[in-house]
Amino acid sequence: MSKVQAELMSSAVMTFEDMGFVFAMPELEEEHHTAPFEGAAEVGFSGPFSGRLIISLYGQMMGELAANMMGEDEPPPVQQQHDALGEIANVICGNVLPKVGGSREIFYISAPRYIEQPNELDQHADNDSSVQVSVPLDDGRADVTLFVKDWRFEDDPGTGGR
Amino acid sequence: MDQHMALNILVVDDSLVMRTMIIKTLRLSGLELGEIYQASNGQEGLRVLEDNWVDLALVDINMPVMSGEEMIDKVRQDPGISDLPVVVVSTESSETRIEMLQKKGAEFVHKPFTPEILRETITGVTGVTNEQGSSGTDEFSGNDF
Repeated sequence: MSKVQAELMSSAVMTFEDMGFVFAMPELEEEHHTAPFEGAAEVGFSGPFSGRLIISLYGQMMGELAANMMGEDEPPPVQQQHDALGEIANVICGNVLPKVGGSREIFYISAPRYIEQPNELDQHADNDSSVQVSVPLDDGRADVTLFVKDWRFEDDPGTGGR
Repeated sequence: MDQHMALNILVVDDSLVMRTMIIKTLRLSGLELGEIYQASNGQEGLRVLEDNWVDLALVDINMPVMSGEEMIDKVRQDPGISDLPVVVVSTESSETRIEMLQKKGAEFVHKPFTPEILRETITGVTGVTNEQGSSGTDEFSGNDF
């Protein structure tokens, strides 16, 4: 796992656990790989370099995640579940950018956007550079991908799992 | 500020989910709370401040219509509320930007945050140290924030 992947994984695990009380498992198992797409959210950013961060959930977690975040026993309405995933993307992005781009650099992060269909994820595949991690969770997995334009990760990342 | 008073708090964030999270965390912090007001951007927040007595504002930075930074500037320019304690609750991690906000007299809490961090920061910025009695305090548990 590259340094950028390690920072992305660390920020993602911390955010899921601290905000959503959804805990990371030690390793990706077969059920994590086969879990169906549930939804995704993205945030864009600009600064010393620009790009976007996308988080894709696989499994059945979004309702529980949102309920935990809001302190409710039952999953909130679907729109609020989408907003909750967007906030997770926002927090991961805000945490990881200074670690990748420098702690004194200023990045501006846009409002989160929910992505309903998995084919929308492919539209970002031609960006200049990307790094992805897969976070194994209790009831599925989260793929977190950081895309950047006109900038290269120093240690040429690939795709990594926990 | 009286060290033993229930705090009237304004929470400004464009995300309903995040406002709910912050309010839930406030309730778990053990601080004695009065009225909790909500606003979804800086402009709405200023309107709440015009119409209500507020002891503390918890403000996000990146919001539509009016950002948290602009709201803080307007608060500091208004003689009636210029000394309002403000805590920025944000994903912002840039040391440069955090220092800029601190120069405007705002404290800073980074997302994600815990009830303990929120309580410590609010206590520091308001001087209020009282906590709810045990009968009225929510206890932290595994699935609570």
